[in-house]
Amino acid sequence: MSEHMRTLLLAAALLVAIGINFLASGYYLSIVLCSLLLGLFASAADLSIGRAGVLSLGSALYFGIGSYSLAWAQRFGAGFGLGLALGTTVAAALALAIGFLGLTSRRTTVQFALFTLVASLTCEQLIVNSDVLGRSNGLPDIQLPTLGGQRLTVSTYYAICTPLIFAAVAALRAVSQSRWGRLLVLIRDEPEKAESLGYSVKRTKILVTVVSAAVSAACGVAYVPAIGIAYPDLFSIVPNMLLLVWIALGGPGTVLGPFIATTLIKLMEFWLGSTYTNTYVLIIGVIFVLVVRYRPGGLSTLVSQQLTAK
Amino acid sequence: MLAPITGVMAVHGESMQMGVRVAEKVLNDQGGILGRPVRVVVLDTQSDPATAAQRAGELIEKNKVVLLLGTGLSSETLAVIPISTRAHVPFIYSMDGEDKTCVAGDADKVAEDVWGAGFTERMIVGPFLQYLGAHVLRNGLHSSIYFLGGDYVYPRVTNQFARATAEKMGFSTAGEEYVDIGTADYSPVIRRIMRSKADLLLVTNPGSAAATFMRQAKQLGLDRSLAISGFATFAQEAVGEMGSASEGVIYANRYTDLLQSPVNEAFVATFRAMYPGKPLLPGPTVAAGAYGAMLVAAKAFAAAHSTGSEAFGKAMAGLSLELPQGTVEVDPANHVFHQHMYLLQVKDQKYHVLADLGSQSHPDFEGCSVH
Amino acid sequence: MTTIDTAFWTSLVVDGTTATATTFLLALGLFVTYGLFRVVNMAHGDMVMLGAYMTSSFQTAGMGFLMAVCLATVTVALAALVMERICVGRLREQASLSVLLATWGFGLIIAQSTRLVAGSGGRFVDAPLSGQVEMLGSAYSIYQLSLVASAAVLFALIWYLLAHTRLGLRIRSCVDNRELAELHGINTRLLFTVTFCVGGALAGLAGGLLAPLMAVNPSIGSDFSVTSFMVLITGGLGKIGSAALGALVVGGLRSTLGALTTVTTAKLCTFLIVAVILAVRRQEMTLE
Repeated sequence: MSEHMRTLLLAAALLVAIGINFLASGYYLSIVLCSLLLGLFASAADLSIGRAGVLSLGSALYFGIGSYSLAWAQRFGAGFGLGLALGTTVAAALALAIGFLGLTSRRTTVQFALFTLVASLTCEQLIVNSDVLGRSNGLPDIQLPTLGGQRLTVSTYYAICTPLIFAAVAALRAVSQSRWGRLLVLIRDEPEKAESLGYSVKRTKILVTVVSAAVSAACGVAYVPAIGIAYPDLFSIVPNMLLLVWIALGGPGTVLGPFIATTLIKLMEFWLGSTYTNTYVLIIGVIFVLVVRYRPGGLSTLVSQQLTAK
Repeated sequence: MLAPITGVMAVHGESMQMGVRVAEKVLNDQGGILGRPVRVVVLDTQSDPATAAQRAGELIEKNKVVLLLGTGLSSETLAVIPISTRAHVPFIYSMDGEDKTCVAGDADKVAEDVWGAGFTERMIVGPFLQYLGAHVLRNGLHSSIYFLGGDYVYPRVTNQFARATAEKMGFSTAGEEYVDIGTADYSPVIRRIMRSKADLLLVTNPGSAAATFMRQAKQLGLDRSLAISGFATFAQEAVGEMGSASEGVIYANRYTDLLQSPVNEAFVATFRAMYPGKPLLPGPTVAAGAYGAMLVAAKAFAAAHSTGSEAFGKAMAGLSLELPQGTVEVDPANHVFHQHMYLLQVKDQKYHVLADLGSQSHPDFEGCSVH
Repeated sequence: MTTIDTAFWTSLVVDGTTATATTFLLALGLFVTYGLFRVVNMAHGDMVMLGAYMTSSFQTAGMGFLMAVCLATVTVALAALVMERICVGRLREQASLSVLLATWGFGLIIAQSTRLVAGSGGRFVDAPLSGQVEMLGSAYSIYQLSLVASAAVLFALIWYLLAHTRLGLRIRSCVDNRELAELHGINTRLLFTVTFCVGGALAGLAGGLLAPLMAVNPSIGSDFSVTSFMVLITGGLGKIGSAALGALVVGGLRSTLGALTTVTTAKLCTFLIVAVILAVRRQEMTLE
């Protein structure tokens, strides 16, 4: 499948998403929006984890920081803009620090992966001990942002966010297919060669982590008004593991694969959860095993035969 | 019903589901409400506040429910309240915990559509400590107490209130400590408790954490050096996990299946017929947390002759009903159910009644966690 | 006063040793799969849970504790065999993310199936030895002390197996260089299957042995997996001694810190110490 085709399909998906706005009501829209935001999150994380090979077990940290930044900003009477600025800045700064401390010029180590997990869990612990951040109850009653004095409806919020999400995914995809994107693959597979060609592996890895963190934080910022609450579980082991599972399912390094896979999984989970309330998690486990058994490269290999993205 | 069927609160979620199914059957056998059959939709919150919020939205918009029941964790309840409030759908939260019926930003105003069927720490601590001091503790009302809790809001609020109340009553505090609920090794804590030479240990650490703690406490012989009790820790729903480690514990709650009243006996019989494989149940979450809340709501709808939230609210105020847990009355001022609290002792994983502590009510909006 | 001090410091040492032993037992199964073969088995914690559950079931059916634990071990080993045959073995050659996904899926299946069959309510297992022994002013659980002995025995057995037997030699050569091992006539595929099942068996064994000390319900798996991974990665892969070292940091040190400060501080400190060890270590471990 050519890149041209992929872009067309993405545009078609966007049209479908926009169309849903006219057919469905508030609750459905928030489900679709949340699924799309998590999809974008997986996409951004994939750029770093799948494409550049920077295996991270703590990427939910950045999403969580975005979420709490917005919730905290709203509590203090500040607007969406401030929440967004705060979230992305803090996440980027943290990614810079973590990358600087833990990344090397060679292949990314498992130590680094665990280091990032520890960072995420530590943040969770700090929040649980903080009264200002709501402790274990979280910060509930987060409203949709206001625009020009008027509070947005779910429909309008959805209409604004959705094209932005698709644009971001397209941009990430374009980046991954650019010359720099191919450099990321080289860094993942043959870091010594990259160094010998004059590229700083460590600096490139840090850069991609920072970009990935900023976009992830933005997703977190947009996510919280849609569900209404920021809570410490966003930093725990489960969302961190699920992210890797989504990336693996979608096709690591393809950027588009994880976006589609995550969105579909989330939508399916919701639909299954209504009909098969008692057994849907089991069903999801079975699906994972089947996908891996027959399509180990992830769902993206349905459209291409490569097992790892180039 | 927003029940945490999976996740940390799964055992309560299952109980809630069973409780509403029994209520659904009982109500439909009586001809439904306002002549129409009752249908309960149960959705899984996964013990997660975001999922709870989304499922609440689904129940309101897709299933068009007239009443929301649930939820598990306090964070789930707090996530659902704004959603049900905005949609003007009444929401009865039925797990025990701190009060959540005040309005965000106005701690003295009651939230129109929020009702608290669970009991609060204010309703149990005083009478419980009184009984322990008078009948159980070797040093009576001058005993020293060690307060232990899980490290999250509910145990902190409960323990802090319990400590203040205890000290006012003359008890002394031997220590206060909070432990992460995922802790696998309680030895350091148990040793500290033993060294403090306390007469009583009050543990507020519900769920699996309780079972892990008690098993290790028994291993180290803690139960031989002091009395052990607590709030929510020894819930009937969780005793299957605690097993023999719960033997002899004195505990207080709003319900036990061994309560002797015709209403309760009929309820237990219906439950056993519907769920024959569950010998350790029905417990408080089944009977009071789900079944009772739904029956009260049914009576309110019937009295209101309408399913609208305003009429419902008017009918709920002051409504009283004889339930398996005893007589329950809805407080018109703070929307928290007045209910009886019972002193229980666990023997062979059965909860025997030692005393009825009387009907308790929650004062104003003390300790309300809605900010 | 001197008696209290002696009791305190003794309990610090003994509790730390017990915590190290139990943590070591917990991570042992993962040492075999991940520590040796670098297979990311996300279902490890759920296998431990299954071992605990099966022990409870067999014990309720009337069997003695030891018999119940043995049968539970066999059951989990069989589950591991199923897992290995269906896809883990096949995927070993490919990206580890696939193995991660597959084992995660299996973990979900194990946990959810247990929940559907047994309910969320949890079980308990009674220890075969109850009672305490007084040593220098503090009481120590006899059962927990017996676990220290079990951990020591298993450590010695596996060390001996890996370092001094033919089988151990085969395993080590397979881990070091697969193609070379094949050339020497070692059936690496079969070897892996056997080792994976042994890893599963050890996980089940840990579940049974540790069950009397904890809550047994379908959701305990993920915490066990996290702890086990932390143990292995902190201590270092490849050698059983490293696994023991990891257990010392993640289990024993945490217990000691918990006695000296608070449990929450101990948790945070352990995290930070693990992070520092990882940052400082010179020997690197990559995923592929």
